[in-house]
Parts: sequence; C-alpha cells; structure tokens
Amino acid sequence: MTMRRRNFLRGACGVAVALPFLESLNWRRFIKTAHAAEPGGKRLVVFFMCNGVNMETFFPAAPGPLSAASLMGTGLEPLADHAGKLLIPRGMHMVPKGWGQDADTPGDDHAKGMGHKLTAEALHPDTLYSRGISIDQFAAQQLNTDGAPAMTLSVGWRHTNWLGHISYAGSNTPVTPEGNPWLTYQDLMGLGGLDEAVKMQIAARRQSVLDLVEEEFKALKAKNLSQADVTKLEMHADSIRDLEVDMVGNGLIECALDPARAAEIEAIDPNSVLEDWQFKTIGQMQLDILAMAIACGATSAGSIQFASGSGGPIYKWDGMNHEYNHHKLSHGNTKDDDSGEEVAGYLDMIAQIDRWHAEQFKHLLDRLSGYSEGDGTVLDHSAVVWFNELSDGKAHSYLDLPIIIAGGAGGYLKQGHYIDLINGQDPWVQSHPHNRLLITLLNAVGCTDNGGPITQFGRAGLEPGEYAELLA
Amino acid sequence: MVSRSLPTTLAALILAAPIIGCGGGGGGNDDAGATAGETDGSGATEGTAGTAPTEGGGTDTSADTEGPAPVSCDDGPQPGPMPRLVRLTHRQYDLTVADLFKTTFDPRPSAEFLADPAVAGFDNNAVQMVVKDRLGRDYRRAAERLAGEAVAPDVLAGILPCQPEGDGSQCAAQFVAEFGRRAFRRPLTAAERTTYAGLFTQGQGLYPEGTPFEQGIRFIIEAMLQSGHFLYRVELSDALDGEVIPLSGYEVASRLSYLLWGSMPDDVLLAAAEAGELDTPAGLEAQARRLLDSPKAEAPVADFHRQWLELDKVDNLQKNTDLYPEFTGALADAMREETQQFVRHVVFELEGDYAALLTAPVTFVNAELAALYGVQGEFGAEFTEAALDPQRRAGLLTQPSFLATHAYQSSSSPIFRGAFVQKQILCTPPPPPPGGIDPNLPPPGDDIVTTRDQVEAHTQLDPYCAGCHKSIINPPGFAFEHYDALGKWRDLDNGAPVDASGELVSGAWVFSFTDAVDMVNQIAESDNGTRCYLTNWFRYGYGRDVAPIDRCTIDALDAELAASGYNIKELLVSLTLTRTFRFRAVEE
Repeated sequence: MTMRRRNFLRGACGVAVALPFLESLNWRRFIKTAHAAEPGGKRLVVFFMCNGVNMETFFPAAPGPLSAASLMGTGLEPLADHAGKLLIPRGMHMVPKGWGQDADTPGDDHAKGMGHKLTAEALHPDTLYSRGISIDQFAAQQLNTDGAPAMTLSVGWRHTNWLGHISYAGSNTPVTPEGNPWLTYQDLMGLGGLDEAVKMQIAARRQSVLDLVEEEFKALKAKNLSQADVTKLEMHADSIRDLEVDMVGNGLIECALDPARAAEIEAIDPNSVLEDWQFKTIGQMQLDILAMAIACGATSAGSIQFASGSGGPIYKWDGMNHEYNHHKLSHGNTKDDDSGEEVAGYLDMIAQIDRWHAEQFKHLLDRLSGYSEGDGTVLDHSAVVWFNELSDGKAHSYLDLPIIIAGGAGGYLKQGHYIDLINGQDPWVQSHPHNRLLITLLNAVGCTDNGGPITQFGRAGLEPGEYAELLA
Repeated sequence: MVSRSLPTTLAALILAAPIIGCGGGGGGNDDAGATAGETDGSGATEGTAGTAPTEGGGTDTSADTEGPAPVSCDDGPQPGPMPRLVRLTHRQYDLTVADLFKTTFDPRPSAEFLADPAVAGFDNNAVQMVVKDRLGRDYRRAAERLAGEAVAPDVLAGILPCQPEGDGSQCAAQFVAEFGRRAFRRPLTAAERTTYAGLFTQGQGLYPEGTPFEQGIRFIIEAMLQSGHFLYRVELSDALDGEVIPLSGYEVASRLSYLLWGSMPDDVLLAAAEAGELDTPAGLEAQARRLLDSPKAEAPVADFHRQWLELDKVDNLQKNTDLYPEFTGALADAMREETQQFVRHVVFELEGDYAALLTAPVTFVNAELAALYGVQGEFGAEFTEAALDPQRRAGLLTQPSFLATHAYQSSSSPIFRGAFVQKQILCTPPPPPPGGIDPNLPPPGDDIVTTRDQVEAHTQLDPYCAGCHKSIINPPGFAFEHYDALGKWRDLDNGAPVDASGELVSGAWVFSFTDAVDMVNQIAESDNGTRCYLTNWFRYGYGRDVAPIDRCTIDALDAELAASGYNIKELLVSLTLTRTFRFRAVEE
C-alpha cells in the first residue's frame, strides 16, 4: 500500500477566518476534494437483494425487445419507464456453483449466494468469506482517480457474518456496508454545510491529529514490526486519510442533497435504522445518497445491499401485509427452518416483494437519470446491475440467475433487450457462468487488464472472456 | 421455452457431492447448521463459524494428528507467534475509556462503531482486528465526543493531577505525563511529552466553547484517543534473552489487565510494572491473583463464556408459540442471564472447577425460568439460586441457553446439539455438511415415532450421511432428547419413551452413556473435556489461534491443571505464567 490519496481542496474554504496558526498546520492539506471521478466517466452500481425471486412472474413472457408492454404484469413492471434502457440476460448460473456441485468450495447455498456473486471466487474454509475481490471494489480501484474504495451501503438488518457481506476488498477481506444514511451522508459531505469558522477549527484539529498519528505510525514502522503489523498500520493510515471529503466533487454536480432531504436524513433515529418499519425509508435515503455520490463524482462505483442472505424484513407496507419475513416466504414456510406449515399464497407474496424491489430499482434509475451529463444522463454512462443472492429461493437455486442491467455504460452494452443466452434449454446445461458477466461489466465501465480488455475474473480455471451477446 | 422448473428433490446431487471423511481429527470450520435450510432463521445462525482453526482444536485431543510435522517439546514450552500491535476490541474500548476517565459514558462509545466482521472462533483475534473501512472515522468521532465530555468539570476533576496556575501550561504538561501514562499504559517518552504538551497551546482557539485551558486539555485528549498507542496494545521490546524476547513490565501489565479485566491496568498494576515486580513469576502471580479478586474480572469471564457457548444465539431465538405459549423474548434474555449468573457463581463464588461448570445441579432462575424447570417456590423478576434435580440436570449443557438455541422452533435438534458438543466441548469438530442436502426429516409414521427415529432414518441409513452422523454427530445429540425445543424435561417424545442413551466417539475416545447427565459427567471428568476448555481459553485469553508450537504450552498447562483439579480461577492464573504470555518469539 502506498500513499495514494492526496487531493486537497482548493478554494472551498475561501472565507478568511482569523486563525493565524492554521497556515503552520498546513491545514489546507486536510480538506480534500471529492474529485474521485472525471466528469462523464463510466460508473458501476450494484443493487443487491436476497432470497431469490418468483421465477414464474419475474421475467417477461418471451425474449425480444423490451417495452412497457412486454413488462406489463411481470415483476419488472415498475421499470416500464426505463424499458428501453434495460438489458435482461437470462440463463446464467453462478460460479463457483451451489448445491455442492463444485468440490472444495465451502459454505452452504446462502453463504455462496452472497460471497460468490460479486467475486466469482470460492469461500475461505475457515471464515466463509470470499477469497476474491468483488467487482465494485475492483472497479473503484481502477476508476476512482484517487483510488478511493467503492461506496458500500446496506438497508435493514443484516447478519454481521458472511451472510451479510457481498463486497470484498480482497481475499478474506469483507467490506462492511454502512446501514445508517446519516453517517453515509456526513462522510460524503465532510465538513460541508458547517459554519466556515467552525469548519476551519475542526479541519485544523483533524489535520493536526492526522499529522501526529501519521508521524507515530512512521516511527512505529521503523521498529522491527512484522509485515502483517506494517500492513495493519498502513490499512489504518489509509482509512483515516480517506476520511475527508468536501463539497467540490467533479465540479459539475454538487455533492449534496437538497437541504430538506438532508434534514430528513439527519432526523433519523440511529437506533431505528435496522428496524423493518424503516426499511423503505432508509432504503430510499441510501439510494438518494448513492445516486448523488455516483453523479457528483465522489466515487465511480458503489453497491447497495438490501437485507441479508437467509434473512430479510417482514414486508408490511405499499400494499403488502405479510406475516412472515422474506426468507420464510422464499421457502413458502411459516418457519425459517422449514419445520412449519406452508404459507398459503406465498408465491404471490414473493411476487409482491419482487415488484417492490423493482420499484426501488426504479427509484435509483430515476435519480441517476435525473442528473444530466454531456448529451445524456448519468444513467447512460453507468452500468447499474440488479443481482440476487439466488434464483428460485425455495430450492436455493444457483441456476438461471435473475439479473437486470440498466444503462448502457456509454454505449457498450445492448439496451432494451431480453436475451435468452441458453435459447430455451434447461438451465442445467450450465453453459453460461456468471463470472463472464462480471468480466463484461468491468470492460463495459472501462476497467482494463494492464491496458487491454479483461478476460478473466474470479476463481482460477473459470471460463474466460466477456459475453459478446450483451454488447451493443 | 422449455420449462425451467427446478428439481424439488436434491437427493441425486448428494451422490455427486464430494465425500467428506469423518472421524479424523482434522479441524476445519464448522458451518454445521449452516446448510441448506438448516441455517435459516433470520439471524438465528449468527457466528456459527468454527472455533476450531486448522491448527490446534480438533488435533489437540487425538493421537492421529495430521498436518505439519509434530513440534518437539524437548526444550519445554516456548512462545508462539503474536503480533506486536493488538487492537482493542470494541468491548475493551468501552471498558478502557470508562476506567481512563473514571466515569461511564452513555451511550457506550462502541455502540456506533463499525462492527468487526465475525471471524472463526472468538472475536478478539489479534491478527484479524484491524482499522479499516469506516472504523477510523468511528474512532475519531468517539475521540471528539469523549474529549468534549471529559472536560466537563466533574469529569476533569477526576483526571487532572493539578490546579492550573498562570497560563496553565505547567499543569498541562503534568497532565500529559500522568494521563498519558494511563492512556498509553506506559510512561511517555520525552519526545511524546513535548509533542502532546504542544497540543495544549495549539488547541486553544480550536473549539467554539470552553476556557482556553479546557480547550487545550480537550485537544490533548482528542489526539491521545486517536493515537495508535491507545488504540493498539503495542509491544516493541526486542532485546533477546537467550532464544526469546522478554516483554517489558508495562507490556506484561497490559497483557495481564486485558486478559483478566478486559481493560487497562490500574495504578497499582502500573506501579508494579515500574517497580519491576512483573519481571518475576512470583510478582506476576501476585498481581494476577489481585486482579482476579476484583469484580472487574467478571467481564472477560462472561465474554469468554458468551462466545464459547454461543449465547448470542438467544438474540434471534424463535419458537413455535402454538407449542410453546410461554416463549417470549424476555424468556430468551433470561436464558442468557441464567447462564452468565451460573458461570459467575461457579467461577467466582464457588471458586469451582471445570467439572462444576459441567455438572453442578444448581442454577439461577426468575419466575419464567422456574416454571420452565418445574422448580417449586416463590419467584419473581429477580434471579435467585435454585437447586435442580441431579437426575435430570447437570450444569451448563442442560440449561435452556444451550438446549433452546440448538433446537428447531417446534422440536429438538439432536444434530445441532451433537455437533455443538463435538465442536465446542470436545474440540473434535465434524466437517461441514455437504451442499445440496435435504434438511427435512421424514415425518413421523408407523415406524418413525420420536425425533430420534426421524434423525436416525434420515441420516443413518444412507452410508454417505452415516459416516459422520451415526457415531460422531448424532449420539451426543440424542443424549439431550429428554429436553424439548425449549429445554423443558420430557419423559415421552410424541408419546413414546425417550431413549437418550448412546456411544460417543470423539477422536480416539469412545464411551457409552445412558443420558445427558451421565454423558456430561463423563466429559467433566475426562481429559478431553478439560483440555478442550483449556484450548478455548488459550485462544480467547491470548487472542490468537493455536500454532503448532503451542502444543507444548497446552501440554504443560494441561498437566499442571489436571493435577490441581482444573480450578477455573487457577486456570486463569496459569495462563498468565506461561512463557508465551511473558515472552515474545523471535519472528522469522
């Protein structure tokens, strides 16, 4: 790890304040820009839900061009306004595979569904965390000019273990998502929004402490530490150096929400953010922040994870009044351990849940397409991908994954199409591993392998190459 | 398009799945209960990753050790690998700042800390605890908050060693030296004193409120709480004594207080370090015994048993309230409280041994738990000691905190219970279940009446399943069949008499039992049980996995403790007297 993040604010603190010693603290070094992304650059956004979908109602009736009409009556109907910007590739299976189909890949189907999905890597046998980096963090490393990590958000209660993580900075290094939108927003705002004089006081203090801590770390590293301890200090130093972000962004779109929205986010009771009744409210706040961060250039990659594998809320809003949580309904059973009775009408309830998530996906697409950029919108320059932990939740299936891509990544990806990659064959043919989708997405947003196209991602020995079928 | 319907039975897949051997000592993680369907439960399976890393654990008790060439113990026990930087756990952070500022903070500072990802075993693994993602932000936020609260007059009075005069800089310098010694758990160097004293004047004018003196002190505190010397226990000693590096008195003092208190050394311990008393085993032992006599010693003992016994599972406990109308969240909380009171009673009041933990027919109950146990008498919201029927109850493993959390919502689970005994109690973890298995037991019928019948029919007929289930997993689970999904005693299961007998195989150790009380009594008196308990304490107490070289330390401790009956307080004292506790190995 090297000193990689050194962009500092130029001019946002223009108000003169009588703090003469500030210059000696070199405080300007401290307030940095959020200039992670170039204007108009490509972005990757992951929208993740768990426990599978109702496979009978989720997809349009037949492959072909997508329109509001073809989405009518499906789980994706709420996306009608964006039909022309969707790409639905059908027939992929997860790799490494589920159901014990791949030797030496530890973990149960939920663990794999979470850990394999964005990494295409097997889980570590001791920890059940994935052995590889995830596409959101991979893209952030390449696309964020300052190397900042991807923004990782969550909505609602999630496991703190492997069932609650999708994003990985590297092997066995899960990135814990932030579930509190006010903390997320404050991070993004940095010291923005505060009174100038107070802001400069805080900046001066933080800069001074950061300098002191970095000096101490330097002195410690000069001792005979092990490489692991040195890495620990560097990780720590990176994480505190990355803290400050100010309101500058890419200079086109301000890194801030409108003050009324920001006030609503601030007013959230932090003790309530994991509660079911807040699921929709928190989710939309997180989506607003994610879209804003992507649009304003605070980051070029991000992910948002709704709930947790083998978990999920009890949906009691927007016309749903369920008695059982998402996981139970995915199995159609009144008990999480399948020991109860069948829930009458559970397939309809799953369809409601799918549709509700489609509405949230629409909310994200609406926000991203609400930011104009160049000739189009931020959505046009992005690949926004809706992944699911599983396909058929009851069977814990890893086959025939439900994947929806929105935005063409600046013309790279086909749009307005529902494609059946396996041409109606039984999904057991397993001819289209999902790691090749990850490769396609990374190439679409401009990632490279030493300047050339990426041809491999994930576990060694997987099929190489992107899917030409998905390209515009 | 051809039908995309998926197979509803996955039985065929089982044949295709890799065969996993059973009966070997090899560790490996256990996501037992983390298999299709079985793990499910919104959160009910939190943290079931194995506590047995590949070294140590399962190999400790069995003769057929695999893996690297065995380490020779001819030179006696030697130190194992330990990082020089050990980050405070979130619990330790809370306890430490409470001691440091001599006050309590509400809410506790770590309430907003980014949770550490759960990693196999205990949550205090020194290698795994790092500052990443947003934890640095959280530390800063906590430092800024605590520094502000610390300069409130009543708190400041408790930590300020002097009355400020003039510009206050003299008193501030004294504060840096004395508060710094407690915050960094060692005296500051001259350079550090200069640096931090310099913050006193720098800080003045950097806050919107407070006197200049308060602002200066506040800034010093704010910085110290973000220093690596506060957030990590730092061990820099590197002078060789023979083949090993003796730790400084202050380094030993921190190891001692974090092992026995989960918090920083007090003034007496720091003074002992300064006086060199901790350089001798006798001086160290005297301090260890002093610390163990303090109520502060209860926190790490509770934290160890919380993790070893997976007590947090009660947080997400669900039961079928048609069958168990008495079940409530409050009852689940009471189960955890019961076990913690029992542990505290055995360890600190009885000064008991391992066998007492496993067999004592007493517990602590409130009214709800008394009803569950069928204990007669007057009980209210308070927990009071209650004697239990020794024919039916024996220690930790017959308490509902274990029985109810290792059960289904409507029925017991011999598989969960048996796997727990093998993994946590005997350190012979079965391998994780293969993927794609059908977790649904066959329904009761003519030949299948009891839960035991169901489990036997489901797992012992197919040779593939039987390999692990028949002799390893199921028998210690069947032992608990007298306890239903809530932990209540039953003589009949679905109308048929309970059969709780069996033969347990753990590594090379094989024995027969008639029921759970008989089984846990045999475990309590066995070398396998005590050694596994010791091994878990080794992992937790030292905050690291068991390395091959640590076998010699564990062998020596085991022999010593066996001679004295495995008293638990003595076990804790012994952990502070080993060479791996007092010395550092030379890194390669």
